Amino acid sequence: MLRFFRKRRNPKQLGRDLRETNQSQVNVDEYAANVKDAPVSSDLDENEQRVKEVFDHCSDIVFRRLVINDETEALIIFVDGIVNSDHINDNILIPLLLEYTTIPDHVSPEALQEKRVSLTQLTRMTRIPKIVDGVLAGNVALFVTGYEECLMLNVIGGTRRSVAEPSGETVIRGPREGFVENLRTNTALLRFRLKSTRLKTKPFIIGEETRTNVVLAYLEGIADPGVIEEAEKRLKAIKIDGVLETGYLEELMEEQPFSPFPQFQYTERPDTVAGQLLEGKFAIFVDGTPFVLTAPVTVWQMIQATEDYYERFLIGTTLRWLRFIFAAIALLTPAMYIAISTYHQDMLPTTLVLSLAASRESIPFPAIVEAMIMEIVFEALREAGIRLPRTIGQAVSILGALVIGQAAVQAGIVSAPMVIIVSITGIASFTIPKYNFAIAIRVLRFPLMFLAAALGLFGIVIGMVWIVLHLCHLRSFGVPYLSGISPYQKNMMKDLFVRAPWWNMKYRPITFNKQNRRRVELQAHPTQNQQEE
Amino acid sequence: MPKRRVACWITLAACLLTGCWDRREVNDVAFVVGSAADKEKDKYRTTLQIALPGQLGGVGSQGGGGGTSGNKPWFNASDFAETIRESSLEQQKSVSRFLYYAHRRTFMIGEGLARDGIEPIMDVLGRIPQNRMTAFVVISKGPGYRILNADAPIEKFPAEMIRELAVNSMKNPRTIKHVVNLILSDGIDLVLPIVSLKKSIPGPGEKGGKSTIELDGLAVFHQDKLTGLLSGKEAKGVLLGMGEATRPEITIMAPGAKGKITAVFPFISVKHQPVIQGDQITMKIQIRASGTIIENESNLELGRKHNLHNMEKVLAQTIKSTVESGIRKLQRKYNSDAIGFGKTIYNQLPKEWKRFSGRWDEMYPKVKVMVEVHTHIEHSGALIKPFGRRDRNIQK
Repeated sequence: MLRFFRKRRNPKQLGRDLRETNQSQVNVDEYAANVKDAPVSSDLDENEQRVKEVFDHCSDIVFRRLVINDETEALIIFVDGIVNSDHINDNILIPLLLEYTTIPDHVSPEALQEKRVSLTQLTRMTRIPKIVDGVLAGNVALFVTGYEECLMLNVIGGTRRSVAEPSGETVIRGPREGFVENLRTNTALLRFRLKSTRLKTKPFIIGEETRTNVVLAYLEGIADPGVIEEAEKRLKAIKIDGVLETGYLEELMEEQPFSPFPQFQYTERPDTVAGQLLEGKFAIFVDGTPFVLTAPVTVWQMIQATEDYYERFLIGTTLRWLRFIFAAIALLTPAMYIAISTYHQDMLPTTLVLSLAASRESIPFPAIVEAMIMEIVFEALREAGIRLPRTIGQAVSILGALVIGQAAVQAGIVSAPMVIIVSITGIASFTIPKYNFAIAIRVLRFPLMFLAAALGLFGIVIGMVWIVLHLCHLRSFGVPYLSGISPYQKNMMKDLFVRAPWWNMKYRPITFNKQNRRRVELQAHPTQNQQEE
Repeated sequence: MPKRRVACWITLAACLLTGCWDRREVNDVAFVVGSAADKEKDKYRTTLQIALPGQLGGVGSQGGGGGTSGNKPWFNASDFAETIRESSLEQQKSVSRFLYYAHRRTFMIGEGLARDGIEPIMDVLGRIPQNRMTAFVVISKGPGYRILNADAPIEKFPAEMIRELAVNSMKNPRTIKHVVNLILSDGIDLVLPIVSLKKSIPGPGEKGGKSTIELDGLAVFHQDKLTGLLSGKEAKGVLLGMGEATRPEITIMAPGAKGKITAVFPFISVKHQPVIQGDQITMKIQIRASGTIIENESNLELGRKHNLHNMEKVLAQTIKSTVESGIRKLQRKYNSDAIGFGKTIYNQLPKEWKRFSGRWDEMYPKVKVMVEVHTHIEHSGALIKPFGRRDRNIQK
């Protein structure tokens, strides 16, 4: 079974991917040249014809002819809706049509760039496929009669959701900004937090049809260069028709796709990303989704919440312990209940075992069937609650809880203790802050339940050994999933089971950060200074 | 890879298919909560008290057979055979659920069986891991099954009542583990609490009253055989001498006044010290007791220092005579070294013990016992003067 999880990419395979990558860049150009590679012609009609051929049956493409200085004919092409039409009016159309400054020689694109168009970002291009690409990315293409080049004016715009509080990761204390679907806004949100020249944002374009902008962000000199190189390699190796969410990249980049445990963390919170980068990790932004991937990860950070770092360290540590305990409960309680009630009745206090027996007296099913019924119903309730609009969702959960909880017990289908067990498990699984990890725990609960039903506590031990072995084996970008404990790192202990006070976390975690280790000045705390004096 | 996969599936199947063989749901098990062993001629009679969860009236048991219609939540199965285990098996024939001993917390030995010796029956209690070694052992006055049949309305099961009583009987209540340990030790004999039936006063409209169980003194052993039953003052004395008495209450005549005073001693320390001169063994027993007054029926004012002092003296004297009377009974009548004089010598003067160990049974009755008691009354409760007495009636 373990082998089942072991399927991962070997380095040779990665190398091959890399070689294909170079070809794939060629392919990108080939793609663009679906249209036929051709230079810009000096004849405006010919250019228009070519571009129109490419954008056949595309109703959202706008072609607009205009005359500059009463003499030169020009053509602008853009995709309606993804450009900022205010910019087009104020900075392109008005200067070109209404102003009458003398332009020496002829009205050339170069002259227009220098004298007329009041935009900061523009480039000149000569190949039709590139121009098509640019237009699709939200540029305005400006052709001028008689010149074999085209002016690409960057007016990316269009309506996008504005920055709001991330609904998936709410906090009591901490910033309330969340990422949005716009890549540029997202990188800006990060840049607001890290005003450092070390923050590098390397662009990639992934997806042959979606042409999605992807950005790899990291702090140069703090992140491990080997990891960054590996991440770049894997990003470049990706050949796919479309990337609509970071999940696509996650699956295409992770080392062990069959593991139930996530090898990336995703977040909607810019402060979380900034925190991860400061620890020496990297982040992957994808245009069109508010979720940002960070890696490498360890199992410990799955149980840590952003607020651990914002609240005072005693509270952070306490909450962290609470979560550890509840993670164990979420994983083990149903299995333990099944094991104890079918094999180890001697382990419970007499009074408890008798009342357990009393409540199970009229139950027709064995404990495992009873548990499966309740767990599946619970998972279904949860799923139903998520998919429905929020207001109805709550009603469903309440209804479900009442109907399933009360009626099932009264009807003698499940016993009251089982309802308690399932509810505790449910509550416990909600305390895990990272949703993808919580799902892993929830899924692993089921095999453990079967093992408990077949072999009792012995089975649970076997299951746990399996899980721990798998965790020991798991790696995220070469970083062991259990690092801190295995391999043991004294330096990381300050941020695993406890959250050491900030003035005491003097170095960055060693598994992610090999250079530029110091995080806090030695005498960071006022009392430490006094001691010195 | 396919080979590997096949191996995986085989391992998984082996894991899951070989499981379940000893699967037993909670409601396929008959929980034995207490049992009694008696001897009938040459055969053993065992009585098992089985809990009936369906009658317990727990939440969610509405669908269960019977419900709580005043039926007792237990069932006693009783049968006899050549061995204890065999008699249990006889009962299994008439019990549809699997007899499960892990929750047996009391083991009662009938007086008759105890007089014949309990050595042979201990093995079955230790051999099956299901049996709890921490089950309390008590001796029943008369046959054990009668006591298991008591109404015991205070607890859910008579066995539970026996357990609670056993817990209160001594500071370190005797469990199967202790019993075996004591049988095997040289120089100390076994003492177990006795339980017997008691009728309550019938309430209105009730006939005959309900039967309950009471702690009724101590069963004293010599080696593995019961030699006598102690009760009342003697039993209290032995417990005090062992240092096993739990909150003993001592009642005395108020010195220099009319009436009685009762004191309770929650803190007692007992020291045994052997003094050996030739073949003459003297055992010094030092008892330090501190406690409080819980009742002053007399007219003595306890606030006065001399009154308190006198009272402490009388209390000490009373404890001393109680202990002495208990030990006298042990030495003269039952020849039972319940307090463990022999063991004390073995622990403190191991070289001397070698001389006596062979003939300890003869030596023991000749041991001279010196009891020395210090009592200390820490306070007289919430009151100093007798409550509800006129001042002129109070003895200062």
